[in-house]
Amino acid sequence: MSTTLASPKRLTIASVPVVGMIITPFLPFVSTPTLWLGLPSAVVWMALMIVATVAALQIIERTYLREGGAELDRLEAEQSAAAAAAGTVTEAH
Amino acid sequence: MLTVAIIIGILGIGALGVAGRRRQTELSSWTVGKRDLPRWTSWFLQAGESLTTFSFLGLAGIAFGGGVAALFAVAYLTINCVIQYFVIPRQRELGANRGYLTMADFFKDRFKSKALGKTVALVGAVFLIPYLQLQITGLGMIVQLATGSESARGYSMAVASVLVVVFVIWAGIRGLAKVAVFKDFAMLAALVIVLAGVIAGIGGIPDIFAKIMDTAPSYLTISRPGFDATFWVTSVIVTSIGAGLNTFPHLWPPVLAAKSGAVLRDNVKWLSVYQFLLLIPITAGIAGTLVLDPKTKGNFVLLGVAQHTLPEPLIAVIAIGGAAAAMVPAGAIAMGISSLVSNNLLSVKNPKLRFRINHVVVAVAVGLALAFGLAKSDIGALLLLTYGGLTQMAPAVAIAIGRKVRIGAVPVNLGIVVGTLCVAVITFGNIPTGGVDSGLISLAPNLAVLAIAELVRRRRHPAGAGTQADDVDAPLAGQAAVGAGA
Repeated sequence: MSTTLASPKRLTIASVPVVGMIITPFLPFVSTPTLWLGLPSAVVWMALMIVATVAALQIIERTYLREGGAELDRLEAEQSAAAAAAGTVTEAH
Repeated sequence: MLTVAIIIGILGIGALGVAGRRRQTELSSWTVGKRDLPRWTSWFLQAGESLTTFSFLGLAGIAFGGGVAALFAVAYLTINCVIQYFVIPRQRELGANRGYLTMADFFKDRFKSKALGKTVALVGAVFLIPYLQLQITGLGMIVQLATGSESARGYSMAVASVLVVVFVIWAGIRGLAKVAVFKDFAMLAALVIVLAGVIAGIGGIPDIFAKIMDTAPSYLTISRPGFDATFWVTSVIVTSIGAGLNTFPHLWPPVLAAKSGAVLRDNVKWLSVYQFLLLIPITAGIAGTLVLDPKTKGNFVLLGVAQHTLPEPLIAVIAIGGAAAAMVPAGAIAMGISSLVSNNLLSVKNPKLRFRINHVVVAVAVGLALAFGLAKSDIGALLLLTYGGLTQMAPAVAIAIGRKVRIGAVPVNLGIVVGTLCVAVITFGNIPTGGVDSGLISLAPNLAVLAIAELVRRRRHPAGAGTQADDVDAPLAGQAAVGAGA
């Protein structure tokens, strides 16, 4: 359980699609001309990586909210509401 | 007729920026509103960097020359979302607690150094000018290619520049947000039209790639000259680091203006779906190899394919979408430059005077970029510095978002200066790098100088070598004001 957003577990999950994208040129189906479903395999691979990225971030968000992040978000919202009610538009001087 | 339609479209975009907005009267509300932008407003502002003139002109051109290697843009923009998910909520939290208006405020506060704040402001403002010119020149190029008229290019650049100045000065970030909504829908329409044109005029997508497989299979691998695996890996890594850690000053206002960190997280966890749209110009660029002269310049490819396949009214829609894709980033960049200069570079205490100077800087920055664009001045080399140079601030950002900042301002400042000089020497000295991105290479001396200078600092001042800035949980927005004027 960790309320640290960038916990090792969450960073590991996030790194899966990142590594998948970086190594793209070295994948055997990309380094040789290949078509999948009429499309270049590299295009299909990148589309899959986009989907994987969305999925990874959804998983990370759920674990974060479940492990205390939801409470932190609630506190932040309360702080923002209090600041807005007080009419404190920050200006730096 | 086409020219008139496009100019009317550009005027409409400008009108949208000022319509229904009261004139902003102070720098903070102009830059970050009331720090309460809701999800969808933040969404369209954050999406700004995904769809720009580069999507229209550059990407199809890279695909025309490098084939599927153009997917590197899809890769770094997607990785950018992953890194930003962890980084920008923290930047927003610090900004709300400490009253930042700019990226330079963040550096100045976290490292307790006015000099570092000024360095970051100077580097940011200078490097953003070529990026601003790129948008305005790109807009002119889109109009010229669509209409075939050289004079239409100049008129459209001038009209769009004036409108950007007006709506940015008048409405600030909220005006920008309104135009950003239009821009995303206009670009979606334009790209779908391009795709329809490719299918109708050249052939079905599977047929196109089957022909490419027969005639030039290297377009289907990441191996064409200049677009090999080294290019891919180094470009993706360095751009992901720079963009992910938010080292572009003009991208800070949307982050600082967001209602909460949760809003930013919610957005970036979905924003990568935008990259599906980039597959369209890449497909059009590769398809262009079947119908265009091989000597066609990269920037001409997308509109060349469109002209080859589409009727005139649809070309106008594409051109207006392209114009919007230029005007929104141009507005954001002008805001970024002006706030850095008026808030961080100049020491103006009087808020009203500071805000007036800010307006002048918006006009001067856009005017300069327009003048460079109209004169066709080649400041493109400076643009090469923009990406690599701004990425040199990435180590400092990574250090500063920690709970405690234990590295000194001088080492960080030296690292940024050395890294940036290194990028400049490699770029202007035409030093061969074997395809490795100069920004990535320059991060090595940047980090080395930072580490050595920090060791020296700790030896000289062992007692003062500890924390530069603690976490700042306590002060609420409005109670602490560090952002500037000095």
